Amino acid sequence: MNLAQVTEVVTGVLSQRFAKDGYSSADVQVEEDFDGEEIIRVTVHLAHPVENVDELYESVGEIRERLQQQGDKRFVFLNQDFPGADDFDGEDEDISRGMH
Amino acid sequence: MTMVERLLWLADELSRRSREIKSAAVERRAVSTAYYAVFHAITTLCASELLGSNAASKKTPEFERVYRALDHKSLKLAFSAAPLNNNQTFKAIGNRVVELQSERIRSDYLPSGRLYKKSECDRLVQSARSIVAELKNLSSQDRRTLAVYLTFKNRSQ
Repeated sequence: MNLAQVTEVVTGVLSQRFAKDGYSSADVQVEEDFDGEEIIRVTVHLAHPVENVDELYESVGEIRERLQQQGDKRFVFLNQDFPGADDFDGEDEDISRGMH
Repeated sequence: MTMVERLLWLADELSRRSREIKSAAVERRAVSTAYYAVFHAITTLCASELLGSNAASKKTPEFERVYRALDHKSLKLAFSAAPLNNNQTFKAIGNRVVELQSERIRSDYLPSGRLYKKSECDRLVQSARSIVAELKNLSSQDRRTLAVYLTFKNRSQ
């Protein structure tokens, strides 16, 4: 399946499942995993967080089920983004200081 | 407390601590530790199912040999293939395990820098805890199936 087809499946599932959480959009990217195989990385943008992360994984299950029905067996990694998803800015390890 | 429970506790602690000291490195250790909690839970299940789970069995060289038989690459392959990918319970576990495994490798090997938002780090640690709970709740038949198909390679001929 091409990216547009995958995106159609992904957004169809997520917009329905997370309408209650203020679904706005989903970013879908194909990446190469550590073993050279492709994975599909999805970030769903919501108005507020899904507290029960099992709901996210149930969505992954449904997305993979639908993709597999069309012959696409790639794994799907789903993350959620929402206002306040990150609660700190910057980090203590300054990468500009050198190698270590 | 078992080693798996301690690793889950440690992953939680690292995740919490990373927020306090604003450390990408500590976040990455949280994710890596969470994966290893899962990996040890799986290898313990496999060895215990095949050789027995009593204290005497666990001290034998055979137990260690089966425990070490599972490697990271074969884990993903097994969850990608039949019969594990035809079973809803195993598919749900596999989806989580493969994601956590991939993030573990990113955490351990990518150049320094932040990989996760705080909510992602928390989610991955929470996912590890869910996987361990799901493994504990498997039926005896499912435990046996998982042990056999994760430990032994599939040969086409």
